[in-house]
Amino acid sequence: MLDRLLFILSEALVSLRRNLGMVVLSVLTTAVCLYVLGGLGLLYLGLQKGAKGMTGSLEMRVYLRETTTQEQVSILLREVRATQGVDKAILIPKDKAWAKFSRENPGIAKDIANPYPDGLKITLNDLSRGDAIATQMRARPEVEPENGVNYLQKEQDLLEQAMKLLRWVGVTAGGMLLLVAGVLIFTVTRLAAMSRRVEIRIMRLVGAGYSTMYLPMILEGKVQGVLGGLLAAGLLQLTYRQVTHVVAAYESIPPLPAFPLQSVYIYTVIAGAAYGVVCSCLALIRLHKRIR
Amino acid sequence: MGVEQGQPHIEFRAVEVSYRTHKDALQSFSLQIKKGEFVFLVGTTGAGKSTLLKLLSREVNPSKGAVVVDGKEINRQLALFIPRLRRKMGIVPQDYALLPKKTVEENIAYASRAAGKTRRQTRRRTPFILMGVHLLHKAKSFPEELSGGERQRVAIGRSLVNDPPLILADEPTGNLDPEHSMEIMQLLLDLNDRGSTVIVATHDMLVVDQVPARIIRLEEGRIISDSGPVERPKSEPVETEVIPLIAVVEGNEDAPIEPVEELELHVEESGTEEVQQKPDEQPEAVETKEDGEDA
Repeated sequence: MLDRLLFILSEALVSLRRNLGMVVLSVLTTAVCLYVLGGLGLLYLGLQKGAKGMTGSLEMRVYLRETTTQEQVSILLREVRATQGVDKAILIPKDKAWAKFSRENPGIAKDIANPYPDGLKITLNDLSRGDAIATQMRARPEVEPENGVNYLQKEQDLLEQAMKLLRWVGVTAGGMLLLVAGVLIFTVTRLAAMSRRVEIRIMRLVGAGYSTMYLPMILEGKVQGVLGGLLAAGLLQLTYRQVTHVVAAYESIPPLPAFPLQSVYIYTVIAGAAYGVVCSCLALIRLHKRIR
Repeated sequence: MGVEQGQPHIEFRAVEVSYRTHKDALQSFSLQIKKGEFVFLVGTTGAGKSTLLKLLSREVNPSKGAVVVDGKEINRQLALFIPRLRRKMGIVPQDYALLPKKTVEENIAYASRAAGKTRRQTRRRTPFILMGVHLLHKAKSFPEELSGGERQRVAIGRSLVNDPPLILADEPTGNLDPEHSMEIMQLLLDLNDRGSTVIVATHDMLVVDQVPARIIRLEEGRIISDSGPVERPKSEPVETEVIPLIAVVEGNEDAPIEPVEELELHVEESGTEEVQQKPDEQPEAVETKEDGEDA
């Protein structure tokens, strides 16, 4: 068994050495592809995490009509608290709101009647539900019809758009790169088969098993994928370190979390290896049909 | 030649083969070949000689009929079993199919390793294979340093790595001059003397006329004549299970014939084969290279 394995490994090594230029090219393409995909993935996860963090402080203000009774306010509060995406909801009476404003702006508040209506302060726990909750609130009869609902619509929209863009870029750019890397691995495997055609012919003549014939080339694809994955993970680590340095220079931006070293290396290498195996198998299936 | 009686070794039963570019490559073709026969398949290009060999090695499957080897319909076997089937036959191609950057012994050793033999088995057997095809003295030569006949002998040697009971040779003398052609034929005859069934596809009538063997003439995928089995006086028998050791000295009629009886086969209880020889005839063990000599 070990003897067979050694033979197969040595054959894989021959394959790799023979098409070194193409192998390097395919490793680099796989690395760039995984780097872009991994980088976008990390950015996406970071934004998602940031968005979740933001919702803790994301508040929605709902202003009530003058005519709203105490009982209606209680019912409204109960219903709002039960709404999906709402973390908590509290009533801010108009007197308290005015007192706070007067404290903060003593000059402006002097000799002016309290313009504030009673209001609700709603804290969200799901950013994506913001729009739906705001619409729901605006439709309530207890809520002021004009400017009755006020929350960080623009910020939320911006964040949502950024995440949509990332998803789009990830799918298109990453997908295209993945395709290019796949075509390269496929081509390298075909080239390996071409350059090893005499060996393959000899193997066929003497009745070598299919595993002996094809495993070296599958291993070659796997090695390319693994090397590409490792390179991509290393590049990601370097980039993250640089970004962390840049971010650290701005006090207003919270520091980035530690680089998820283990998971990035594991996932990129696994993804690279799996992709390499799949592409080389596809190349060999076509070859096998021809030379069986 | 020891043609065995009884059940045929190989049988084609109403076989039909059609290629996309060549309809009716074989038409309702039936033939029986017994164990130990030496058969020439002769005919012009496109007569169906190579197709018959390809049917036996399962490179081609018939559209109708059956190809039976040792009682098994090989055309019905799953593709998964093709390598196993091929290990029971030695296939000698016309173009030698040698690895140019490997030496003669490395070419044999590579085929042996590819066929599933261990490094140890390969190291032991390769010198004997080389001795059998009279190339021990050329073991370290590269194919480009060999004559056409020698290259073909390497190809024949390679076909022996599995000790096959059946040898299929497709135009083995196609690239050779008459002298080297006879040399190759002698080698195949010797293998036949050791019990192997040999089927040779050729259009080299010069060779065919000089070898006493069954001659099957083909034309447009049909048999037009069959001489039937030919009894030929057999060379001295050699009892060996390692490989057939051929007592012919290539290119030198006067040279002393290798005394093959002096090679004693000792089979250990574990089944490991060891050959004990006179010290001066001990073939060197072959170092099998695996670290990729580029072809």
